[in-house]
Amino acid sequence: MPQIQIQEPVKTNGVRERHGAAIAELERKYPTRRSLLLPVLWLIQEEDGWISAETMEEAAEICECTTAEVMEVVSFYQMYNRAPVGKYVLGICGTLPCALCAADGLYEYLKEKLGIGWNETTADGLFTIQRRECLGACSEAPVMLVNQETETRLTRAKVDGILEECRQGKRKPYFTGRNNKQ
Amino acid sequence: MTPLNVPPPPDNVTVTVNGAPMQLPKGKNLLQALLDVGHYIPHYCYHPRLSVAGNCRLCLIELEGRPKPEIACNMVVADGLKIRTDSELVDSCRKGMMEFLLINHPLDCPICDRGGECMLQRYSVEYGWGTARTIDPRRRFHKPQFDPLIDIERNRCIMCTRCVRFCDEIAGEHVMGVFGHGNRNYIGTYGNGPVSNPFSGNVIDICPVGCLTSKPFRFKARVWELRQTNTTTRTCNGAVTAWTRAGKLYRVTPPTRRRHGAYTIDEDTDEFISNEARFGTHYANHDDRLTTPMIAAGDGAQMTTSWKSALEAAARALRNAGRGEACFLAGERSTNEEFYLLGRLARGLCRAGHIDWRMRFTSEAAARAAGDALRASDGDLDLLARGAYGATLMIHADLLGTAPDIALRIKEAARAGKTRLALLDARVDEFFGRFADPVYLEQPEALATAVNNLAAALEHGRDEAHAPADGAPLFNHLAQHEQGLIVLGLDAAGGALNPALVPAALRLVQALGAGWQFLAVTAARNARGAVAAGAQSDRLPTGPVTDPEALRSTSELYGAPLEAPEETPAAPELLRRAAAGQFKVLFLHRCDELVHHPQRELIEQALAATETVIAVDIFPSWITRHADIVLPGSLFYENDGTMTDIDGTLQRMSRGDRPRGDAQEEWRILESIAVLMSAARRHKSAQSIFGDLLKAWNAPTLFRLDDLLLDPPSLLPQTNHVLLSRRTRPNFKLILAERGAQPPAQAAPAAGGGLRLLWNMHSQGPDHLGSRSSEFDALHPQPRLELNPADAAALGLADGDWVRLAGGEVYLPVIQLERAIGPLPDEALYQEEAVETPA
Amino acid sequence: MATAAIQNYSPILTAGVTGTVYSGSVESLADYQAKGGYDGYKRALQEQTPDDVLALVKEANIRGRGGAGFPAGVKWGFIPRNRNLPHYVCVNADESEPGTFSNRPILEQRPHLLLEGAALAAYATLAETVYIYIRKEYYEGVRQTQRAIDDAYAAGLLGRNILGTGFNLDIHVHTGAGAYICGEETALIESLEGKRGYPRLRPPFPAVQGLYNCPTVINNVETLAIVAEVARRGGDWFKSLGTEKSPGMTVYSISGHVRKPGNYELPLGVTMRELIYEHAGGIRDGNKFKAVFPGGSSVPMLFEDELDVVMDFDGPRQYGTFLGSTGIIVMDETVCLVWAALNLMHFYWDESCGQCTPCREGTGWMHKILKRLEHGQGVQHDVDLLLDICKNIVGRSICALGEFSTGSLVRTIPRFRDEFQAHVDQQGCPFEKKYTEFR
Repeated sequence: MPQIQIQEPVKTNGVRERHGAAIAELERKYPTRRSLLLPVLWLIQEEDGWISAETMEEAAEICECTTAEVMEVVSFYQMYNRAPVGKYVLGICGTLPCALCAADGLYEYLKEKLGIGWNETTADGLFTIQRRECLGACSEAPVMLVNQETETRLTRAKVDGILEECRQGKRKPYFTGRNNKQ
Repeated sequence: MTPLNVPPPPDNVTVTVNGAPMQLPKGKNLLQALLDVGHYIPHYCYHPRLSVAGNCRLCLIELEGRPKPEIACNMVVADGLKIRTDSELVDSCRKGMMEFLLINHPLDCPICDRGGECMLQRYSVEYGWGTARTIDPRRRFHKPQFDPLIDIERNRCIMCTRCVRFCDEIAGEHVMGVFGHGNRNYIGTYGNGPVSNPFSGNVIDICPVGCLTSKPFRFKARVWELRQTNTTTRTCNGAVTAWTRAGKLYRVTPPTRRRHGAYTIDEDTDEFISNEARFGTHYANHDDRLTTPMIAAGDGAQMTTSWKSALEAAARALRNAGRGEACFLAGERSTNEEFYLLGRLARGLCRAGHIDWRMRFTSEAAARAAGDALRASDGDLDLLARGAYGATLMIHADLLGTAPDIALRIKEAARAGKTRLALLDARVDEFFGRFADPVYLEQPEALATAVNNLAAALEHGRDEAHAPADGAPLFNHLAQHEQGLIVLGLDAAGGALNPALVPAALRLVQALGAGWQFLAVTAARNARGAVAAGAQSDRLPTGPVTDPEALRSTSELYGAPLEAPEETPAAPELLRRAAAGQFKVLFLHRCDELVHHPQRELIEQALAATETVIAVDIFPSWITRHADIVLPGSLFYENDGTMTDIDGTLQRMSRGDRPRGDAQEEWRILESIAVLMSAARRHKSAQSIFGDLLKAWNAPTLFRLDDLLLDPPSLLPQTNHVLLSRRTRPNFKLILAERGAQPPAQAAPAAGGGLRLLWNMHSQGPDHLGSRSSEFDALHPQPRLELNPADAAALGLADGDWVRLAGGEVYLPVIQLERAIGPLPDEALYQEEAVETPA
Repeated sequence: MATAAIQNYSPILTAGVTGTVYSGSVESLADYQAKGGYDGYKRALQEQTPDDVLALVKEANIRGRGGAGFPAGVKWGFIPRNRNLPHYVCVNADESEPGTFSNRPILEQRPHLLLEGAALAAYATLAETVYIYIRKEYYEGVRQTQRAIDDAYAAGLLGRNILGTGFNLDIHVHTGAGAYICGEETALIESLEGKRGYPRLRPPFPAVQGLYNCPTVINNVETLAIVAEVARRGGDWFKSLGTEKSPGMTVYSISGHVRKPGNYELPLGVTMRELIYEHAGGIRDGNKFKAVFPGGSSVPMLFEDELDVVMDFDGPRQYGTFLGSTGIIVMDETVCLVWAALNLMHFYWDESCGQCTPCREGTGWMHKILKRLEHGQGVQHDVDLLLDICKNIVGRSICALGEFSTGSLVRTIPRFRDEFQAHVDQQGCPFEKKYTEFR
């Protein structure tokens, strides 16, 4: 038999390797592996900023379910991004209590300032605008989620300040990892 | 045979429906109970064999005393229940739901393949509005490529999730899913890949609307133009309906009850069939068909001839054969009637002719063991479904690969908790693995020893103290139950069945006691029929050849004197003798299994060494080209007769169309040869041959062949709206169950060095017939070899390499290694409708 | 109830945080214990049986603050009193109802109050595991709750053999991923099991087959915070507040066009008028009141002449609406109710899980119609059609979301038919909508 060079197995993204400890912790938390799915997807998204096809396949392996089941979950929950996002994700609350207090205007202002609409990312990869439903801070409308922080009682000046802080890198980016490319 | 205890059916209680009392079985699903008595409730998402989803909301009914309507599919029959199904509220619920389901439907009935079978069409007429109140644009989805055999049109989907539940619950894995959110939900597969399971075609039938349709059937015909023939195939267990027009096969579905396609498949049947039965039968339309008789014209050429001269030539050759010089090989896909007639030809009309069917086995010992196993089979899958077997043990059964339709029924029972499934095998797949506990993995040659150990332990007693050291969970699993089933696979090692396994398994059944039954499974379609109809060397239709009484009664049936044979060689030995030139005539009746036989050289020698080779077949092959007389046979919807399922259920094969060209039904060919061999004409119909068989089996003679058909008119309830299910289908069983005391088995021979080949469905490509079904070809997994990565590394093999295999008596052509990483999902994964932005 | 008595009431659940969400600091374990925190829990473990705790909650008649107002004690009582299967307690902190923001300060600033209530629920229902399902948007709430859990473990209040009583308890935080429907208790269970948040059919009820098919209790954050207070102060104290059928206090979350929007914790039984005009300072800019959602955006609105409704569990019912989540969204005269309905219909269309027909298709259809109305493409029968669609949804969907989507229409259209019809007749919206201007 001719000697054949053994190919290296295709490298996975290594979710399991990089997050071994976190996954082990999750395993202690839940009696079924399937319950790990949402938290594992968050581990992926916090690193990559979005859920790619490759990572979905890895999540399926970790949670012992089919890729279709992972896809079902990823596409159901609105906070899982299925395309890469900017370093700063601006989640504008557009629901009635905020809308009564200028949420629409806030969106128009950001749209004009950044030149992007819903679910779009600026060319420099810094900002993405997403629509969030009620953020539970209705008494302080209008409200926007900037990555993990809830920014309340927004005004033009306040928004300008937040954008400036982001541009200067003073705020924590949306994702920590390396894989945020299409 | 002692009858087994079966859990009794539930008692009836009184339910008041629209003010009238009704007797319904307690604890039963209310919707199903009402459907069963002919009280129709419209429904989409409910399906009798799937879990209750309750999402279509069409079966809302009114519970007296409650303001809100409730869905009937999530209620159970309880005493004193008072419901209304005819109130204004119920009517408005149905109207409302129908309107909701249609506001986004494209209303493209003229080009929809579901037309005439669509539940949306039907309910629109019966429960709809009559007018449209919507002027808004309709939701639209991209249309992906999806499955090679299933077409998807998401705009027509009503999100009943039957297909999703079918894949998840019945067919094996959750390969289909609901993606997206809310109003933009859609169904599909991950990355729009194929619906990868061997039963995927059923999603076409259970889809109540035009979302999932059959690609091969697409735009070919309207269902009401087609003739439906309830029949069975020559390849798969269970019944089917063939939908034809002018002899051409358009589609194969589970058996339907109605003769004309005015109702949906989905309402007509609750049975599922494998893709092999559905798509693998499209060979029927292949142009390559043998349509006229042919005889050898010297120098390897063949010429067409008339039936008269072909049959006379065949009869002459058989008449001229000397004592023991005629050998009949009966293909495992022959009907019971053909087996019977072949036996009569061989034994009654030729002088001590030989007959056997066991060509798929490569050694004489394996063939004999298989015969023993089939003769002892008495397990009943209907009893399994009714919960008679507390435990089931499957031994070395690559069931999904060999008999998918049977695999489905066993898994269904395990999933429904009707039996507790255990596995003892060399390889376990997900299909059963998910539902089985305990699961034991053994090297294939050690399986017989393991079974023997288990039997020996049980012979000592059922107390846990007797359990073998390493098999206590399995021992307890079996010992706890008074009634159970042992399933033994005869094909899991290809043709190289370990002969020691059969006596070991039979010993285990014996040790477990009278409540335990046995089922041998094989891919040989009509193996049970071959044994029962006397196409096995050591069997007559009425009993073993060694039994003088059986000889006498069979001789009476044959109308010819019989003598007890000195020896009873099985097919492997017969082939060896043929190759040695010991026969003058070799009669090959539908021998599909020889076309791809691993011992091809042996067969070539046999054909060359025999003076006259007579072949009955439907397609040309290297065998028919070597034959001296070729007699063209018929398809499964052109032929009359019966087949026997692996659990003994008789299935009717019926003639809906006449055979193509000059081809003939096989029973006519065989009977004509018999007549030409100077026997009196005995049979003018398949029914008459079946009558002989019934006499042979001591079955009630009042029973007619047509009783096997699905829809004897007297059984049809007087309503258009009834979903008839498996339970109401007449079921006749053929069980021989001769199980004598078996000698303890010897230890299996040790395997040679190196790797062992575990046979499974992926090891071989489609056969003689399957490869002529172009649709099925697209779906059949490429033959491939699966290797442990460590072994692969040791052999210097990588994914995608090609290897040649030779092992034991199994010899395989080139086989491709499976690629571990499939193609990645395409961009379509993200191409759903753009999310609308807020106003 | 007399206004004076209300003014003397000092908030308990949200002490220090009433009014604004971010004014207070986080209450540490030490702070909480200094106020008598965990005393009720310790007493229960050391001196009382689970049945005693159950009896206490039943006796106090604590009605669920999540929206349905179902008595917590009765709910707990459905759990089998054996341990044949593991039992679970799920805390519903998926607060997503528009206009509702009373759980957030508890999670962010008084997490120990919630933990004590959850631990008591677990003790009473023989559970050893609690999952707190917090919506992902509440990043700070998740951080603070997780920190509080870690502190409680370190202090021996959670874990194995707590306080030497043999009681074991684990509390885990599980975060959602942005789905309003997961606030529905069975959808929450599905989500915890790693699936799409599809509400389940009932029966079976979660008390019989809930999380992982085991008996499960699901309670709202505020309900459990109240349980902790009741365990410390006793049922009589609790029943001395509120009305007879709606004992105790609740947090009214007031937002929209009022001068002082915020969380107001008050005994049940104040009137809507008191809430808007006394506590929240009245309508802003001296405008006139137009309409109000009394219990989150999912319940039908109340109007000018109905402001004297008593805001307890039964008061709003006589107007065909509900106390719901006590999220009060106030709208002044400048608001176009078609616009408001469109905004909310977008929410329900977007958040419908899509499982059952009426909700999936109905919300989408109503959204399309309202969008046409608001953008000047309405046709004559649209207004009637909207009402008819509402009728075809209500009571016919798997969960209540279908009905919720009709909250902005069922009482509004009959009352403000002219305003809806004007959108058709004028082929557009007659309102100026100054309130959308961002400054």
